[in-house]
Amino acid sequence: MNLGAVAAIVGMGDAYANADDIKDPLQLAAEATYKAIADAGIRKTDIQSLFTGRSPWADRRPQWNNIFASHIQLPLTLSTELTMHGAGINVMFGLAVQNIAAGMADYVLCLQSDATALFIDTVAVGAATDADPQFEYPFGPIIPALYGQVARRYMHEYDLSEEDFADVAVAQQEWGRRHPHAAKARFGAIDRADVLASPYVATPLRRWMCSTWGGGTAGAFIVTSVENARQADKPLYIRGFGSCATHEYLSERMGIHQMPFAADFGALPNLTHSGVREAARQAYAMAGMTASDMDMVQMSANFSHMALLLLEDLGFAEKGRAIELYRQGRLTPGGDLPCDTNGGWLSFGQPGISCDMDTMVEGARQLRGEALGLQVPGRPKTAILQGAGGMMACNGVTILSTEAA
Amino acid sequence: MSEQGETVVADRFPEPRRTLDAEPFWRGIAQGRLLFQRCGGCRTAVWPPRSYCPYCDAPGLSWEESSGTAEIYSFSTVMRPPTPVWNDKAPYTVGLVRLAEGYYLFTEIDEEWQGIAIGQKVEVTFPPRDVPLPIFKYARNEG
Repeated sequence: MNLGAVAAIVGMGDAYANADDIKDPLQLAAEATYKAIADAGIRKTDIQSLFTGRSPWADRRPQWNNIFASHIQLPLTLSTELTMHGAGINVMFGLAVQNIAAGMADYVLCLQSDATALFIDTVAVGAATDADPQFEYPFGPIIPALYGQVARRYMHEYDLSEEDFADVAVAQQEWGRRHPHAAKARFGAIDRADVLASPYVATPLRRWMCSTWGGGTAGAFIVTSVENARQADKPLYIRGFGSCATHEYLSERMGIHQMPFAADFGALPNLTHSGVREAARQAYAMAGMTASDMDMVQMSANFSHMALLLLEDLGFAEKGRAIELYRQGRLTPGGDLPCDTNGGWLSFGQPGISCDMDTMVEGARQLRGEALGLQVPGRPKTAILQGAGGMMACNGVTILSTEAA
Repeated sequence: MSEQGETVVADRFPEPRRTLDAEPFWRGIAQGRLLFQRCGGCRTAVWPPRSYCPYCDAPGLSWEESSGTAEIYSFSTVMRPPTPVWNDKAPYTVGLVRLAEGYYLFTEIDEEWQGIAIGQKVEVTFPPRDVPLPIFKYARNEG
């Protein structure tokens, strides 16, 4: 059964908050959801299923999916959190397709919101959540120090430098400085020297090589059958999806000697080949496409080196070679492979768990020709959207296209 | 025991959230010994502690004492600590080391941060601290 021609996005909504316009996760989610319902031209009661990711960090009540549904009085037949860390937000689109393919729902709502930095102490809670509380957190890591382990190995194995990492940050800022909601837009254009002059947060990662928190965001999508989508204005077809979870805590990854997947993870153990390789393999196979068919890529690069590693794992470069895409200017405005066109997590920021949904929102807006920042000229037709969660732990990949086949 | 991520105690160093599988390890640490598990079936070194071997799925993992000698696999020096209790200690280095027995441990590498590199030989120490942990320093014969 090919699920790559079953369902489409027919409605989307987004919402934003900042220190001057504070909204909590319920308000952000409500705003995005009502926009998505209006955009889809349906009634609230047409929705049968709701998928959300993890509880927002700014409102960590369990069963947040049900809390929200009840908040807008939305009785449902199926409602659940999908918690492959933040990657669940990408993976929920594939789950929506399966729900529709099984005939269990006509309309599915995919939703996430968060506004972490507006409500909680972000530095402390981050590492306390994502480091192993027994064998990692007692040594005092922060999240950049965990991803710093990956960065140091990646540099060591593929002969990359801090200058290379700086070039990634510069490229991300070229998009981000043109987006009205990007957390780092106010800094304007930067160059390599600016990045290398910024202080280390955790070596080898300097401040500009790390994502920032940002304010608050929400994204809501209405997914329905291809048949229902025929009446839609600008449907986006879900042509392929895939997912893969390899571990929980980073140091557990170093105990994995074998992977039970078709994708090539290199010599194990390692920290340089992520589960995105397997998630992308599944998505490309379902879509009958390869990386060369993609007009655009939107990723979850929380640190400079992760952009390189993810581009490789998505099939755009051999391992260790993605820096050449940046050197050739292919990923920045005017390039032939627009990448992270809202500035990505590095420049747009990570408002919380919703950062994976921001990636989906940016991809969908570009495909619909409705970018809030710089619109990719010629309106891309097909995009690969990647979501990550945890310490390189969980991964989702979704391929969207303006064309049904 | 604080619930992970829900309660951040900022005024003292974090205590390990001990699992029952790991109790022998923590008893070893209290005695200045670094213990790990080995599978009685496939003989693979197992870390972190479990009740079944993740490689051959056999029950009955046994505990052994590690030589405590290792090589630095990766590392990162923390400049901006997670909570204020770490401020006086920063910069400090956390890293992954590969023990001679073949397993990888996340730890602190207690050396001047500018000199630390992948591949350096290190060995376990048990410095007196509020929260006893295995800490690695350069191996003595490496200077």
